[in-house]
Amino acid sequence: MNIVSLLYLAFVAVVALAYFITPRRLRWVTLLVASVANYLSYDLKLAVWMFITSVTIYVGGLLIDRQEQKYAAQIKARTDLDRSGKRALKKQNERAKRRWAALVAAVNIAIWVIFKFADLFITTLNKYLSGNLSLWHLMLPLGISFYTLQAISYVVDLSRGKCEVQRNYFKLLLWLCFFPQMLQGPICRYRETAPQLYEPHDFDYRRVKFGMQRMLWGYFKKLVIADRVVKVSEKVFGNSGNYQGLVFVIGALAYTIQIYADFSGGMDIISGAAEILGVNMPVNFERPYFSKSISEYWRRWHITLGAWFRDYVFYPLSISKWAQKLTTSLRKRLGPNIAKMIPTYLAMVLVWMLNGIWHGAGWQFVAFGMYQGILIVLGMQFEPVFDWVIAKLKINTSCFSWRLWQMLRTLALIMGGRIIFKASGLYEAMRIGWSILKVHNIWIFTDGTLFKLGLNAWELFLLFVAVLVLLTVSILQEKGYHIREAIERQNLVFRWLLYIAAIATVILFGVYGPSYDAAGFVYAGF
Amino acid sequence: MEELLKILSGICPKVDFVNEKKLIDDGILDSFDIISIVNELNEHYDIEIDVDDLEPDNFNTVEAMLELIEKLQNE
Repeated sequence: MNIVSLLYLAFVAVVALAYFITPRRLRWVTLLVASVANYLSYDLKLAVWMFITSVTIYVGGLLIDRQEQKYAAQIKARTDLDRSGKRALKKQNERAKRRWAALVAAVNIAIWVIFKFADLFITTLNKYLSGNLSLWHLMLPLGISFYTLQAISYVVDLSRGKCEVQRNYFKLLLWLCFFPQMLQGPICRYRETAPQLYEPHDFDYRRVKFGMQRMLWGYFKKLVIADRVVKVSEKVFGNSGNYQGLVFVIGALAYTIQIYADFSGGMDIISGAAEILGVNMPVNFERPYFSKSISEYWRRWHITLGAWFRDYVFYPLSISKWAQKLTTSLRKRLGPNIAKMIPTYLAMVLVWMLNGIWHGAGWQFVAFGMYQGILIVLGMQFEPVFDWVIAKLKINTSCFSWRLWQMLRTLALIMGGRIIFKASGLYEAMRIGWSILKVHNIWIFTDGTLFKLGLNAWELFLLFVAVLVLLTVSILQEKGYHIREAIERQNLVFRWLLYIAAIATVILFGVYGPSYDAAGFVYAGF
Repeated sequence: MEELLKILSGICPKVDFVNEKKLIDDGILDSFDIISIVNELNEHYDIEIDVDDLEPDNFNTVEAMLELIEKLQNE
């Protein structure tokens, strides 16, 4: 069920109604039935894989818990143990729990890798070994890239003692396939989201109203902005052989706006629907284009994915025995400071490679991830040089103009990444980059080229106004204003005029039509 | 405390460890800083900070870090 459809709105309304009239102790069952029905409605056969994942984490969770109980019993029984004995037993227990978690993670990663990379692997084999293997053309189970990471987080957190085991399979299944966030995240942690799903929530007019407002804001971002500006990015990148120079900058800017409005708009719809049902989704975006560095950008863009890679890949690798051994072996040759940094940098390179691969099966996605990683490392390594230049030139870094410069610089780097991501291949991305550097066709702003990039003058004007609204709201949020609370304080007439105007804007200026593909959420494709 | 502050200031000289109380929650320390701090504390205090210990609550303040060090030393 597409979240941008009247059917979805009706579904949310029916589920909400059913939820609030269900006896309190069974309300989570209503959510489960709705979530399973929603998932099965996409594809019955492929849904099997999500159920397999849910069973693996359920069984894995019970095994980890059994190990923990065994350890508790041992500690209780072995009163003779001294401190080092207890410490050894604790380590043994941790290792056993981690083995179970690793096994469950490996099974689920294997499923994900097969679905996502089988054809890439076969193509590469055929290419380099002159093979003639036929492609599998596997359909990806919907939401697999999201629910696999979420599933792994449960068993790893359990093995780390950061959440309680769930003994009711159906409750665990609900957490894994909760319908609003099933397809494109956010990637939830069990200890944060699960209790909210199981706890019965009563009807709360204010919360339902806020949820609906947030959904409306999401539809505005998706339908009025993303689905309009997509025409520019598709035209430019879909016909990149016909363009050069600054047209690609326009295309990259269009794609930068599109992907934010698309993904964060989707998050608003998802979070709004969940809010109606009393569930607060984790924050996934914090106005990322206001970031002053690439590392800050990645702390504000797709936050739950970044946090997942940090907690389950970067941290364990960086402080692992392997990292310590590498530091020790490098210390004599490179000195203590560099020796300490190298394992961390290696862990980071791996994280960014994985981040790139997570986004798609292809070398350009690896390059996209590496591009981000290299920028972050360079930013860190050259920080003392930047500080020195700033001091020498006596630049005032506490004024708005400096912050604006930092934001624009970061945005330009982000757009570079978008080109790698959106171009038809890695070579084409490099050609586009070279064309931007080489061709300075500034006349495209006056010779009418702009109106031939998929949007006419009126459409461009509409897009400009809509982006201006988004920018204004984002600035207000950045300054700490709570928009929904501010609207709530207004008079009844003004409030309703505003609601009607907002709904009318989405209906009148949203992009629909025969060629419109509402299923095309960029991140739902991952 | 003085010793710990000296170590922390050596790693992140721009951070006010004495007054900041939300070093992680406010994004003052990033994941690289955390790893650098963990490596330094492990070496200096001869402890083993595990990945399980990498919780915001353990690194939000210098007092919390000290508490973690003492806990691991007593284990």
